[in-house]
Amino acid sequence: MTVLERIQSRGTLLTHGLLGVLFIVAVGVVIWLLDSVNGFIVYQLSSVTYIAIAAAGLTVLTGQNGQLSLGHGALMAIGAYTTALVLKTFTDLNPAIVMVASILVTAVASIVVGAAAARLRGPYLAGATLGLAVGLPGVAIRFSSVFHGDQGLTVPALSSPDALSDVPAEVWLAWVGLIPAAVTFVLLANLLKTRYGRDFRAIREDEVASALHGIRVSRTQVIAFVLSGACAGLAGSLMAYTSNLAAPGSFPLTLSLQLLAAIVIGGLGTLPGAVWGSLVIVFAPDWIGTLNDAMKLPSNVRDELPLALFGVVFIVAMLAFPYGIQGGLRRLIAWRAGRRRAAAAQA
Amino acid sequence: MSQAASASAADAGEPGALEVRSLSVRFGGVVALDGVSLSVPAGAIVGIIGPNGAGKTTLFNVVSGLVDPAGGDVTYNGRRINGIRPHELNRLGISRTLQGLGLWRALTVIENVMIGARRGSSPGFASALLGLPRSDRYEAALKEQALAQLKALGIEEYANRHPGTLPYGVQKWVSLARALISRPALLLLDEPASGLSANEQKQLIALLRSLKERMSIALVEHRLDLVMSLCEHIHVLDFGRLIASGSPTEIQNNKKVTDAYLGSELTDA
Repeated sequence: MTVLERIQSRGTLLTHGLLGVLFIVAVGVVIWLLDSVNGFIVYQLSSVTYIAIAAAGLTVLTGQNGQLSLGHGALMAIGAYTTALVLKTFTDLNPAIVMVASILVTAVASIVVGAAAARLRGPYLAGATLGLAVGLPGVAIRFSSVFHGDQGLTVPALSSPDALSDVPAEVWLAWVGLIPAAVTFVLLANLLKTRYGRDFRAIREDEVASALHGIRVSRTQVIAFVLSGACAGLAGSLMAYTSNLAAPGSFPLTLSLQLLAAIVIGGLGTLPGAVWGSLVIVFAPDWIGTLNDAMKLPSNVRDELPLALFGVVFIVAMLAFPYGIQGGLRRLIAWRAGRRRAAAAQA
Repeated sequence: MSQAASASAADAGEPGALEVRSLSVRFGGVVALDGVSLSVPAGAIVGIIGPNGAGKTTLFNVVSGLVDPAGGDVTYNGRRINGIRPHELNRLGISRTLQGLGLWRALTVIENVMIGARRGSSPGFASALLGLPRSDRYEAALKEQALAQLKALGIEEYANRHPGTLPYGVQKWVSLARALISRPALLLLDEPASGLSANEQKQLIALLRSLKERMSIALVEHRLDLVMSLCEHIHVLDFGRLIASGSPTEIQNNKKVTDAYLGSELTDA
């Protein structure tokens, strides 16, 4: 028995929990080292933590359960505004409690949206969730006495404890983001291994066969939506802490579309894919911008080019890796294992 | 708690009894079933035959809650189950296979079979989310049960394959395993022999005979030879009406039946 197998035999919670802790420590150290080189990258990495949480939830809903949502940006907004409103009243509340409150509020909102979504299919579901993404920010503007309209609500910055006062703010923020991200991935990985994960995928494949074999289709779809919404709420809360703001402008339709792009480019339905996709979504615009500036083009071309390049990168990536980055990695690993076996056979 | 009672009766391995009384189904202006009455007595193997479009699958669809009848009653073990929801079949101990198999292609064979298992005292959402030992034990037990079912049908070697990569005959066996793992009291088979080789058909007949002790079986089938050799009782549908009921010999000598078949589908007979 290898070490990994020995750990796995001790149960799902221990296996995934250990992986989660290892992930936090490893990435935490990388962040610490990176900060002396480039503090801005560290700040961007804290964006990756919340984008990855939202993408993980969306990949369960869309990739595993087959429900397309174009409205997850709006669900993130619910989480962000909950965080801002809670902190307005209880200024010094522990972030963990604030995040749990944001998860609960967003989950309750997701029950309503999910119940409607369970009755809709394909383009109708896409249209309804699109309406949510477009319409919800308007609520903040309409009820500006509560939500402060376009300006939004400010969120106090997360300060590191006194004992760690040497830790730069951006490093602390990224560290704090790692914990909810790791917890999210551990819990989702646990769930997808069980009956719930199988039911999610069975419904995506064939609803009639699912119902005939005892799966409560609508109920399971609502569960998937609420789970996914809870992730979006947590992501929104973390986003509010990161940007110190909850404002309608932070949750445009493009945010929802970027989340969708992240899970597709990362590998639809896979949790590691949600991480790869989030890294691409956060870092690619910057690299494209740098490349664009280096080409010294006339300004009318230069201003429009990044978006076009972003599109080209996506199209090329999907042609090269139809199953996303995670699918590409799996193929690479399988290919290398095959070569090693062939080499061993020759020797 | 009549549902719980019938579920435990099914676990004890007692076959269930199905009865359909004056069942009518309309799709718009088309009458798919017209006052059909028939029964599947406990422990019997009953065949439902008839030319294409006779309403055989529609009858199954009503019994399994996929289609609402315009009139009539469906009773199971003496209890009226009109308007049942498809997901409740599993708890009642009724399993049904589909003509198109309806296997989940993205899931492995063993996962397909695990989903078919009786849903009862599974650990809740929270234990699954937290990956608690309780959830692990449940999953392991379920996997073992599914593997045993695959072994019983002699297809355990395909446990980790995906259905789409397997020959049609094996896929058919997987769909049977998925229907049988819940230990049903009533098994509804929609064209179980279609696409099977002569040898596989023989295996199917032997399998169904061996199941007779534990469950009642109703099968919709095109192949008359299989139905004649397997079923004790046969119901014949034509254009949504029951035109004959009886033993294989009675059906073979029934003029209405031969007319219905000779009139439309010589090749199948």
